[in-house]
Amino acid sequence: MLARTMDPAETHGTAAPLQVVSPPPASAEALAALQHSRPEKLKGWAAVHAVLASPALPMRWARRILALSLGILWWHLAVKYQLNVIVKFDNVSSPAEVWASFIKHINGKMYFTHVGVSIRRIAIAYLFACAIGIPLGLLMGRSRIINDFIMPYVEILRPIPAVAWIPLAILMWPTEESSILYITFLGALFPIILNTVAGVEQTPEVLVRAARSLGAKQRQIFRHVVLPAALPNIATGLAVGMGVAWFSLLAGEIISGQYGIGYFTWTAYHLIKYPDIIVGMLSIGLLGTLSTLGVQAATKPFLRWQARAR
Amino acid sequence: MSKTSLAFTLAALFTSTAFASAQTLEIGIGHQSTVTNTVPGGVILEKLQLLEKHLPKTGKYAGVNYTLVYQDYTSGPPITNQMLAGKLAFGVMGDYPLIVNGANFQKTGKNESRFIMVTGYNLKGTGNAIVVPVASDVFTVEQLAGKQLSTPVGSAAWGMSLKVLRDKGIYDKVEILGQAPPVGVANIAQNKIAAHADFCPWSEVMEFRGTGRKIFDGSEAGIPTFHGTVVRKDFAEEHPEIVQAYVNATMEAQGWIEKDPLNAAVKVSEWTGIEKEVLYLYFSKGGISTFEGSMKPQWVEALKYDHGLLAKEREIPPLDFDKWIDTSFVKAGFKAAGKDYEAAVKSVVTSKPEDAALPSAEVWFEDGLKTYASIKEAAEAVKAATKAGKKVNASYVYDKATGLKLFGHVAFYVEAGGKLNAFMKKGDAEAFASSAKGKLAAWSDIAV
Repeated sequence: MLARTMDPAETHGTAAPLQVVSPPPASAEALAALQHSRPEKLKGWAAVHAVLASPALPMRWARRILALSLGILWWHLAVKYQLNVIVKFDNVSSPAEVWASFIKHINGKMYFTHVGVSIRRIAIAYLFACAIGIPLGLLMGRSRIINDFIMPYVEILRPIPAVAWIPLAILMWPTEESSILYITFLGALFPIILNTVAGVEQTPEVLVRAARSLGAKQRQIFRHVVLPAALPNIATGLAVGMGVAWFSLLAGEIISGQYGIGYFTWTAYHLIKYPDIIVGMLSIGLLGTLSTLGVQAATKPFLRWQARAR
Repeated sequence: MSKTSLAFTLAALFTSTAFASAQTLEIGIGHQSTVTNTVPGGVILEKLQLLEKHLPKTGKYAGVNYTLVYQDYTSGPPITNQMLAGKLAFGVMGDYPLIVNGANFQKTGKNESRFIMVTGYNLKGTGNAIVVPVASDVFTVEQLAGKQLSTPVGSAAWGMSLKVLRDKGIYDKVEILGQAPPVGVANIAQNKIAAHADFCPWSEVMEFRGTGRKIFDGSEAGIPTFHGTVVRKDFAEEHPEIVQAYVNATMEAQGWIEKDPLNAAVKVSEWTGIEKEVLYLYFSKGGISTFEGSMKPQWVEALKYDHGLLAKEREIPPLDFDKWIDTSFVKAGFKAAGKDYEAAVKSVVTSKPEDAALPSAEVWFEDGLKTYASIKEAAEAVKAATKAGKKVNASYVYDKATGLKLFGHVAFYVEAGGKLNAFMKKGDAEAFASSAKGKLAAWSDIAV
């Protein structure tokens, strides 16, 4: 299992290469079994605490939903009582207004067109980022020369925000669609490259030497030692890259002119429709989360060896 | 940092802000330096420090230190956003964004905005236009059927586009894309979009740069276009004297443009980066914009039409125009300047074909501006100057059909009876050529 899933929003993909933390020796399931084996009944706060702290999966989901509900409740109250302590809530739309706007949009066809177009853009840009980022990262991790030639570009281009690319993207690419795909692609590319490089670089040299002394060829070492060792990092890079792709998409869709959830949000800003703006923001957040979960689920089978190895 | 020094710093911070709030008054102004009609309410005030001249310094304002915060945006909505957040008091924007501003303020139920004056206008709607790439084979709006048109959604140019496409019966045949000015202008230059509709001064910027050609001028839609100033109601109630100072200063800035349009064009160009030749087309006598602040009935009527369109197309909330439009400040401003407000309301400057009060052509040489009684003379002068290695900034002529001021190098010409006639549109030139048995010509034929 993956010990810690990286939160893309937390890292913005611009953080230093990430390391996957090793799982604790005792698995969560074992702990659960241990606790359930205790027969005595708990009372009062202790009982509440036991339920709240339960490691069972349904409980974890319950806690997550509770956390979100508390956030929405706080948002509702902050708007209702017009909270004004450093941050001001007096003109912020309430959750109810945002919900009403959301319902209105999902009853129409347009919203789904926006979402569909954005998903297609993400899929294409992301696949390109994977197809280029992973091989490049692997090569850079194994070859110092390639690394020296490519890394300066990665480091210089990486901090450039997606919006700054808009004028050049329009100028350089033949169609609007390709400009948008390019901006989204760049967002996903760098986290994937950097995490792949880090994964390759942290391959225990002792394993490489062991394999070599056992007569493994360079290609075999790459296939059976380096690649598996890098996989956890690659998986993290893929998950982070997906998150960054979504927030680059908004910048790209400023130029789209017609469809896309980023365009939807941008146009809402130009007509000062705060509920729609928030619907757009939350849609991007939700779609980003879902697709990141999808990436994690898809990479999970490749990480099975870890559980066996430990 | 030790605990005591941290506490000390915090205490110092708090006392300093408390001290400051008793002495300083911050005035936030959101403007759009690149949008020509708004410059008297923003960038001119800032650079000539006109507001400082008019701000009250007596009574309850004795000893007050003003901090003026000018924030420059490329469109109106971000200014409305800042005003709703309470960070800006004044905002200068175009007619459509003004309505979005007023309606959204009214919707909050807590605060409102007041529309206090006009910064610049064109009665017929010139300033907004539909432009195609210069090499395009599209010459009329009808030819856009089956093609894409981009425009900043929610702007006056967007409203004009919807109206003209409906009027021509091709609304459902043209794909409308939302694109901000920089995006649309780049797309026209790259020949990546069939047409782009924009507000002032972008169409003329594209013409001047030689990347775009107008196929539809806002005047053909017949809806006035103008920019003006809104102020937060709570601010206006607390500081009516400052609102008055702002209106008076804006009027002074308007007078500054009118007095010496050439100098104004050069200066504003230095401040904003918009080409001086384009600005002169707007500022000059017979040019596109008139910078005068009175609230004319035509403006109110146009605003109501615009609001109807916005409400229908984009569900913009209702707006109580009688409450929103507040003419008290601009009336007082006229009085203070010794001008007749009612007379100003009644008089509207607009272009008319073959206006005898204007010269036939103007040429802006690097060493100054010259006027000519005929296009032919102007063209000859340009030719001679080019031969002598002298730089010509721009030339200006008037459309024979509408009286609109145009760049000489983008007009279509017809030579008939030994006289050159200029036209904005190819179709008009061709019609005139066949009726007057004239010969079509281009600028390159007559002046190069």
